[in-house]
Amino acid sequence: MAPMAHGYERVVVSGLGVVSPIGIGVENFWRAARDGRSGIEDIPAFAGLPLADYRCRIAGRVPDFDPSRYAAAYAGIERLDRYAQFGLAASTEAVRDAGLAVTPDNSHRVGVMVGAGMGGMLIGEREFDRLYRTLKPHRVHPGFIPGITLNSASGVIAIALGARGPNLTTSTACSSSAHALGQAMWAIRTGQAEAVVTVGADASITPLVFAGFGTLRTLSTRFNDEPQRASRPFDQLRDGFVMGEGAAALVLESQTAARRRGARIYAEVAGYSGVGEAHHMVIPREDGTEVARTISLALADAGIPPAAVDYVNAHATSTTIGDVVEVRALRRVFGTHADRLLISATKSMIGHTLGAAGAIAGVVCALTLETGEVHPTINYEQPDPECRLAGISAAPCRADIDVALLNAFGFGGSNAVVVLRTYEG
Amino acid sequence: MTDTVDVTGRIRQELAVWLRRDVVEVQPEHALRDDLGLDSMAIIELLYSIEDAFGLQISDEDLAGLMTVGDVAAYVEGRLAS
Repeated sequence: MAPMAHGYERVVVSGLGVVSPIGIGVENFWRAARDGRSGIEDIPAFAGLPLADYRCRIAGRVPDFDPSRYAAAYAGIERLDRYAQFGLAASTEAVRDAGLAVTPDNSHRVGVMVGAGMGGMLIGEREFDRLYRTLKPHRVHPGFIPGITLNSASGVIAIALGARGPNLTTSTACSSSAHALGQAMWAIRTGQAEAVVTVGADASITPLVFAGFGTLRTLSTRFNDEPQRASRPFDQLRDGFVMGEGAAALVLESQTAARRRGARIYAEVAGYSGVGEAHHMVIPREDGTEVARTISLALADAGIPPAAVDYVNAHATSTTIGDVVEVRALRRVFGTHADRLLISATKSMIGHTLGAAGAIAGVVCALTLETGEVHPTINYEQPDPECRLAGISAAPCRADIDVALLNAFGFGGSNAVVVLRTYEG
Repeated sequence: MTDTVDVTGRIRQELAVWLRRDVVEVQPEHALRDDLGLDSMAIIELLYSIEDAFGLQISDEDLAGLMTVGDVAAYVEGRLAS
C-alpha cells in the first residue's frame, strides 16, 4: 500500500506499555488478552461505605500494582494519584521498549500527551472527605491541588523522562486518549515534536465516581454474582458497562527519527479524526451517522479506502444502546465489507477504563498488526441481532492484518477514530 | 506530654522517611533546603505532616523562620509547652 501523499512527516509506533486489570506489562497483558481472560471481580468494601447499596458491585481493578517499583523514574510516586502512577508505569515501559534516550540534545523534541477522563479522583475524594469530616481547612493536604489537576500525569511523566517538548492533557471522557493519539500524530506530522509519549490513564473506581455511574444507570447489574460474565459487548444479555482502570502508553515517533536510530517499528499511525456530535451529553446519535462520519474522516485522512480495513478494535462498552450504534455506523461506512472485518472488544475482559481506553486500544491494534493475532471478545454467547457482525467472535484467531482502526466515543459527544497500519518504509 | 527527645526524634524520622535516607543523616543543624535538598513544596508537605503528627497549626508568619531541622523541633516544642 502506498504511503500517504499529503506531504507531512509519517508517524510510527516504536514503543508500548500497559497497566491493566489482566496484566501489568505488555507481555502479560497480551498473553491474557489472547487467552480471553477476564479481569472483572467483586470490589472490596469502599472505606466503610455499605457496598450492598451499590447496584453494581464489580469492576476491573489492577491487582498487585506496586508504585514503589517505579520510584527510580519518579521519587515521589507514592504521593501521586493512582491514575498518574499507572501513567508513569506505562510510560516507563514504553520508553524502555522504544529504546528512546531523552538527552539534552533532543529533550525539547520529545513531548508528552496524556488522555485522562476523570484524573486524580482518589486524591480528590480523600480530601473532600477529610475536609468535611474534620471541618478544618488546614487539614486539606497540600498535594491535593497538584494531584487533582487534570494534567498531573502529563507533568510527572515529563519530569520522569526529562521530556521538554509539547506537554498536553486531553480530557474528553472515554475518548480522551484516542484524541491524545490523534493530537500526538499531528504534532509529529507538522514537526512540533519528533517523538511524543502518548498515554491514556484513569483510576476512578472510587466511592463517588462508582456511585455516580451507578445512578446514571450505565453499569451492569445483572451479573454481580458472576463478575467475569458481566462485560459482554454485542451479546444479547449485556446490560451496561463494567468499570475498569489502567493505563497504556505508546511512543509515537516520526518515521525519520525512528529510522535514523534503527528503532523497532510496530505500526504506522496513518489517520485520525475527531467529531463532536452536538447532540446529547451521554447518548450518541442513534442512527450512527456521526460515528460513521468519524470513521470515514479518519480513513480519508489516512488515504485508505474502507474495503482495505481488516480489523476494528471497537469501542463496544457493553451498553445496550452504544454497541448497537457502533455496529450501525460500521455497516453504514463499510457496507458489505462490514461482515469481513475482524472485530474485538477489549472491554469484554478489562471493563471500561474510561480515559485509558483509547490508548489501550492503540496498544492492542499495534500488537494485532504485528502478530496477526486477534484477541477474542469474551462472553459473546448469544449475538444480539441488532448488532451482529460476522467478525465478532468469542474465539481468538489469526489473520493477515494490514489496516486496523480503533474507535472511542466519549460523553459530551466526543468521537475519535485512529487508523493504524503495518509499516512499510 | 511529649518530651524534647521525642519531638526531635520524630521530626528526624519523618524527614528520613521522606528523603529515603537513614535517620543518622538527618541532624538538627541541617538546613531543610540547602543541606537536605527539600524544595518549597516538599517543605510545605513536611510541615503538613508535622502539623498532623503533633496536632498543631503552623501560621504563615511562623513558617518563614523554620529553616533547619532544629528550628522545626524547637518550634514544635515551644508550641507544645505553651
